Amino acid sequence: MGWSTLPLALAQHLMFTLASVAIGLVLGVSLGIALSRRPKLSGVVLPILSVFNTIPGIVFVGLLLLVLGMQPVTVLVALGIYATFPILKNTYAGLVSVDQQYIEAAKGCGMSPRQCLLRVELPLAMPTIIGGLRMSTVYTVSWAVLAAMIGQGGLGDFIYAGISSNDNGLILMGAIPAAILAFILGSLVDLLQKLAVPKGLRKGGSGV
Amino acid sequence: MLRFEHVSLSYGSQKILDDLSFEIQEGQMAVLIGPSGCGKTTTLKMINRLIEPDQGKIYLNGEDITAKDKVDLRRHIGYVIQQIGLFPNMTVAQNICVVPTLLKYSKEECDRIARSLLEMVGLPYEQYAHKYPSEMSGGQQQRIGILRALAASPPIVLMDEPFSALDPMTRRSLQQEVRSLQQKLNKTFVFVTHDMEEALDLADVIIFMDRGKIVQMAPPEEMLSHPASGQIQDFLGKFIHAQSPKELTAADFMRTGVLTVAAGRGINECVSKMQRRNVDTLIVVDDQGRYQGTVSIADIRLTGHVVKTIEPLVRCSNPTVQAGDNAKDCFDLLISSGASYLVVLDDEGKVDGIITKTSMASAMAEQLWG
Ligand SMILES: Nc1ncnc2c1ncn2[C@@H]1O[C@H](COP(=O)(O)OP(=O)(O)OP(=O)(O)O)[C@@H](O)[C@H]1O
Ligand SMILES: [Mg+2]
Repeated sequence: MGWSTLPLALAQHLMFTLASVAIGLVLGVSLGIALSRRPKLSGVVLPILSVFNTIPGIVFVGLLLLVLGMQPVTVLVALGIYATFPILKNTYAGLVSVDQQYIEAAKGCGMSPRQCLLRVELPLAMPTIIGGLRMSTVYTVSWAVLAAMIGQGGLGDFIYAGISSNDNGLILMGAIPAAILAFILGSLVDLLQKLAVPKGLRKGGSGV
Repeated sequence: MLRFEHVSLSYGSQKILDDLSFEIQEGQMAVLIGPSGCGKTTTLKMINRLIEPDQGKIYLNGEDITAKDKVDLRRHIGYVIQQIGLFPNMTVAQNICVVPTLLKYSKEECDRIARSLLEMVGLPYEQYAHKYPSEMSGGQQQRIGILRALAASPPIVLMDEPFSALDPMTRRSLQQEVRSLQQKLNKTFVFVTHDMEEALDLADVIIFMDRGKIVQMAPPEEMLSHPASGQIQDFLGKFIHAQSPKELTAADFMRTGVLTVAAGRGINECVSKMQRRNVDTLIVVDDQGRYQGTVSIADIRLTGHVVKTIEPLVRCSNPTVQAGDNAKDCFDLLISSGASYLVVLDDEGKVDGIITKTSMASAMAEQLWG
């Protein structure tokens, strides 16, 4: 364990993060949309989810391990589910806070519910959704350390090895790249925020 | 063009619309007015099926609107909501062309529409088409909201208090714009407002609602001259006197509550009535209240001692006019006849009031100074 294994660990870490965030994005946005269409159901589902969200990652990974065994899928399932929460919550919040006047105008213009969602609601909720994506990305970088716990590599290898051998140098070798990774990915999402948020919403003032 | 037949709606036990029936002709500007909460917005939203009635039917060009697809129906009805509701994520041109885009017009066609509509309201395309709503003033946004409703040339346009948030100047010029647009395009407009001045200015026909019912549906002139209830009169307020002098009638100039007496009454009773009121003639009516003539104190003094009732003394020489007669003609008659008053009669020949020089002068003063 040393400098030579760092690139591989970094690559594994990055892959786990990107794959999990991708899963989280798909699940979070689609569940968020689905829940925002059913206000009654979401009144029940959202509180349950947020309780679920407070289960520590380490407990969850441990449980999943019993079911799925020591393999990369276990890591992806666990991280994917955790990555989903912030995106789901923000998608839901962003959609339900779209001002009713825009929805009424959209309906009145003859948009179908689907067109209203795609052309009006999602664009207006976009800043909030991407905010959720950012949170999810940064969290997932640190949660991905758990992969090492079940022998799946990543920067967590250094951290666990450092802790067990009381070697602060090793811990930092894992922690600093993870922090830098979180910073870089966070900045990339910020860039996406600039590109994907409709121009009319950027100057502040009107919008959601 | 647009017909409501016995439309009702309740939320729970509260009746919001109560058996609404009316018809708006093609090319008319119909204005819905009434106190807050009377159901104007609800009525409007039923036309494009944002709200469905519990009972009754609505016909557009003879077709039951529930027989059509909602989404398709709305694409052929222009709709201006009260809060404007321009989509902040779209440019001005995109906002204007929302409906044409939904109807799959070509890109060139959409551009052409945006261009010509913007020019029509004095916003140059080059300067404004690619701005976002947040970069426009309130009045400009309101204009764009109206253009969005007009873009696909719908035969009917619904507007819910489109000018309520504007300052009086902008409001005035937008009202004129809407009026001239409506006349130029010859579309049917249904316009909601709570501002009577706006209604009187714009409307071909005013529909006055209260608590989910139509109180009166009439052209502005008729509503001014014959408001159907005290509430409408209150709404008309100062405008009720603001009619042009040409349209004034005897009814506007007369004094009401005049003293009358039945033909069969005794001489003494009449004399004491005259003394009490300090008048020298009385208006005589029959048992139905119809005008018979007048009796004067001079005649009673002359021959009062030979008759018991005033009947033989009644003269028909005093000039009379109808309540609907032109005020100027009444004025001329009052002066030329030399009579001290004119008796104003209604359609059935009953006495409505009298016009004296004093009542005429005070009515004129009110016209002049309000
Ligand atoms: N969703 C609703 N549930 C229950 N009552 C409602 C609902 N929407 C409207 N109402 C009631 O229906 C009545 C008519 O409402 P509407 O919005 O049509 O009034 P309006 O004439 O447009 O008033 P305003 O001039 O204030 O806009 C009001 O008494 C209102 O409280
Ligand atoms: Mg209203």
